[in-house]
Amino acid sequence: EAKTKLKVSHYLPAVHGIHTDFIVPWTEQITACTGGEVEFEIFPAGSQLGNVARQQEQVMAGVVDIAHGLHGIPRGRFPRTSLIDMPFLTDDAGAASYALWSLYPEYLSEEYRGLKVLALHAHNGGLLHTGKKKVETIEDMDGLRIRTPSPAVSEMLSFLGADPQGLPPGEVYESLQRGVIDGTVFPWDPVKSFGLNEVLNYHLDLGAYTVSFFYVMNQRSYDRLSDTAQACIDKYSGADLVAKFGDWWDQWDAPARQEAIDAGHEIITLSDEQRTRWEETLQPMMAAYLQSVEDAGVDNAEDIYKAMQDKIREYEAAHQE
Amino acid sequence: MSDAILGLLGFTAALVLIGLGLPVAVSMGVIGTLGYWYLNGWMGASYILGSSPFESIFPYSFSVIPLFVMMGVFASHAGLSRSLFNVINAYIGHRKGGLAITTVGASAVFGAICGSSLATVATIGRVALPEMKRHGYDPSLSTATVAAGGTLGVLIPPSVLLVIYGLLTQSSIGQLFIGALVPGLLGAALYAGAIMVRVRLTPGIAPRAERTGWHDRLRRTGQVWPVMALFFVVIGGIYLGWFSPTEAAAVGAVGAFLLALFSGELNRTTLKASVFETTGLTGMIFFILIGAALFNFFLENTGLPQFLIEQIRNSGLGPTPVMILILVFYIVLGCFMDSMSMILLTVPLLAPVAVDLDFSLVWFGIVVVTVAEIGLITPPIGMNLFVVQAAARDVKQATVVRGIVPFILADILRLTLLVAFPALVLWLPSQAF
Amino acid sequence: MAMAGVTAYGAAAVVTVADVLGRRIGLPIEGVVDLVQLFVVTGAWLAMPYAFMSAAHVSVDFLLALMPDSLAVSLRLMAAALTLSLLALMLWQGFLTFQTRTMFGDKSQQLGIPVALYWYPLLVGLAASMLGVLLELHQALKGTPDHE
Ligand code: NA
Ligand code: NA
Repeated sequence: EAKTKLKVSHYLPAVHGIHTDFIVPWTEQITACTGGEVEFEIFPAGSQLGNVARQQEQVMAGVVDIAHGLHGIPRGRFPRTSLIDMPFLTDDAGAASYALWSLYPEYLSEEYRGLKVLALHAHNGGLLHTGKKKVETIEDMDGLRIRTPSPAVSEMLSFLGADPQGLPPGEVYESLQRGVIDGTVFPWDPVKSFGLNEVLNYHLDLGAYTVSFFYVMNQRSYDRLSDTAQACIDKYSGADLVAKFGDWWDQWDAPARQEAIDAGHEIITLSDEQRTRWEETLQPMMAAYLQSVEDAGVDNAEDIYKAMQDKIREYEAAHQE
Repeated sequence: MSDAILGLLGFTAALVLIGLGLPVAVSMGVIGTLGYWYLNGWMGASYILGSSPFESIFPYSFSVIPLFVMMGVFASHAGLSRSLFNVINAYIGHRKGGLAITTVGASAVFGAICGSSLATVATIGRVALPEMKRHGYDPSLSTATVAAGGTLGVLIPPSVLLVIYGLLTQSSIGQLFIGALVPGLLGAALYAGAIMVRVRLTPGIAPRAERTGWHDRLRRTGQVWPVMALFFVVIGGIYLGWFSPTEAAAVGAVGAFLLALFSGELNRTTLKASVFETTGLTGMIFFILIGAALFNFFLENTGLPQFLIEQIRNSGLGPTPVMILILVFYIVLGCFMDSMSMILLTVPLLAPVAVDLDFSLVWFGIVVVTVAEIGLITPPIGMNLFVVQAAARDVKQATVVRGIVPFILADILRLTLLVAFPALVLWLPSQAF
Repeated sequence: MAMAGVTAYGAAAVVTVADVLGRRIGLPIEGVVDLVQLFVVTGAWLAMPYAFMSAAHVSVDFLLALMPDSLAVSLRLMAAALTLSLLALMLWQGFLTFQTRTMFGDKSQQLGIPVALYWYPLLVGLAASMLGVLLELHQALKGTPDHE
């Protein structure tokens, strides 16, 4: 039997959980399922194909067969999917991933023409990590220089009085150490992988935002595969795969949190009262943001946002402990 | 034909083109494109041709290149660097090879800040080469000193490469920074030693200047305070957290321009010369980055680096032979790749080998970053050699290559010491944590 | 063009310094990274043709120096032909990539500057670089083949 070699690219270092727990085992499952007919070659960060801004383009052009990337970079290519970035929608990776996958067929599919979507997911709610300055209330944010991952988060930070800074993740350590920035918005996981616990002291568990990812295959690459191979890809993708991300993200976040606790850092959780205050303060910003997405051509942004809220509630209700 | 063999063939073909006198960037670009075309069809080649020219210049971190080049060019054309060198020369110029040793020190300090070997060579070269020439230094000594000096700063904190290594291997960046201090300074000391030995063997290559009296020394020192001030603002600002290393490049460029303006040395002629020099140097560096990107697309697609690592892993050799193999591997790879891509591509594969062999990951990281930088000065293809040659167009390639040998020997001695005595790396961090 | 390139670099330096100073008094420059990238990309591509024109591109010349003149001249011609082909391919494919990215409506990450502004200098610079190669070749063949 002729062997097919598929190229998979993503932008994370080969030590990241996305690579070691998700993509590598996934490719091994497919290879095993096809009896060795389909093999994979993976191109992570540092390879020429590992540029975060080029994942969608590469897979559309067929330079790689499968790509894992961020919806938000370059910004504006997935305006519908990126509504999941809205502040305070959820702090749970499982809920956000479930919502994305549930909305995909009806609301999001037009953003993925020419692609076979294998999974969509989003990370656990991000925190505000600071070095010397402790943040507990909105007032504490005033004038702080904070590294930001996305336009939605930048707007949120500006709205709260902070000074958002766009920086590549790799420069955050040095910038914090030298006091060029006061803090950074990140989920737990990169705090460990970038060694940031060495230069941080406070972690405000805002659960304020998430960032979403795609795992997609070039449709032509998929169509070229044998029936067996297609069946194997289908078997290990979609809802079953998406359902794993809640646990995966918890698992990827846990070591960084433990490291912070061991180092004696203070982890601050917003009280319900404070959380409501933050959410209310941000209402005008969120309305304006939705409006700007509608102005940019997504007529039903409001509907999508509502549907996301519904699906998240549905998930949370089913996962009450 | 196995892809890894194709990679080796491509590597050889690029070498042949370069040997025939084609521009390095074009040789790498052409072979990279043809190879990628062969492996992935026209669609693949068309993708890398269309995106590499953009992506090789776009990243924010690359803005240090033109900015530091501008700083160097303005400082030099306005006579600022010349007066600075005059002062240093007044103090140690009467010693053998004093200016070359000064260049090593300046490169280490400057490279520590800017973190890019190529930018360090371009900047320091612009300043130091004319001065050494004026003082009658042999070009084989002066150009090689600048090329080698460029590699020093990468180990001295802050170091972007060590940060990346740290996050790839989950080792402490703080420990890496502290561990890099001794090897970084050792590198500078050994380079100074190499210069002294060479000058002792052939005294004609570095004429001694006349000893300057203390009165003159102090007078000249008084004249260069603006340059010293700029230098301290640029370095001090980084350590005090006023700005990031990338921003420091901008501060340096604007500062040098203002100093040049107020010194009255900036006229139509020097301004024009500064402009042409900046464009020539930065255009050259950026085009090499584009050619290297095209070539790396091809090289990584052939799986040659992974293939070689697999061979090392499966060789069944003991720790020391494996370490020597790894060092050789990096020196060869360093012919074409920049150190950043090398670290990102190979460390995830090699770190498990290091752990298998009970190496300390901090020590391994320092050694790997050291050796990745050596590739930049080893002939036939070393980026630093090319950059320095671009700054000294009247010097023959063979002259630079001849001059670099003592520095490579110094580096090999440094590596041997680091491998033989890991405490050179590990003692300081063990005290600090 | 060289002057415009250096002016663009200068602009990158000036906005960075303005941001460094401005943020101490609470007036940072918004989206400074986007601006610096725009100025540096512009400067680099406006500078590029000059690098070709002045033959600033590094090559290994010690074998060339040993060859008879006629052979050296044909190698120079081959080098120019390969350089031109590479530049032409980049210009062609770069234009297609430019079309794709503007079609997507790509914008810079913070300020939302249209990505086309980053691409115009690239396309102009590549085209002018081809001209630069021809000019340099003409100069070189008119003078001595070994014009160093
Ligand atoms: Na450094
Ligand atoms: Na080399």
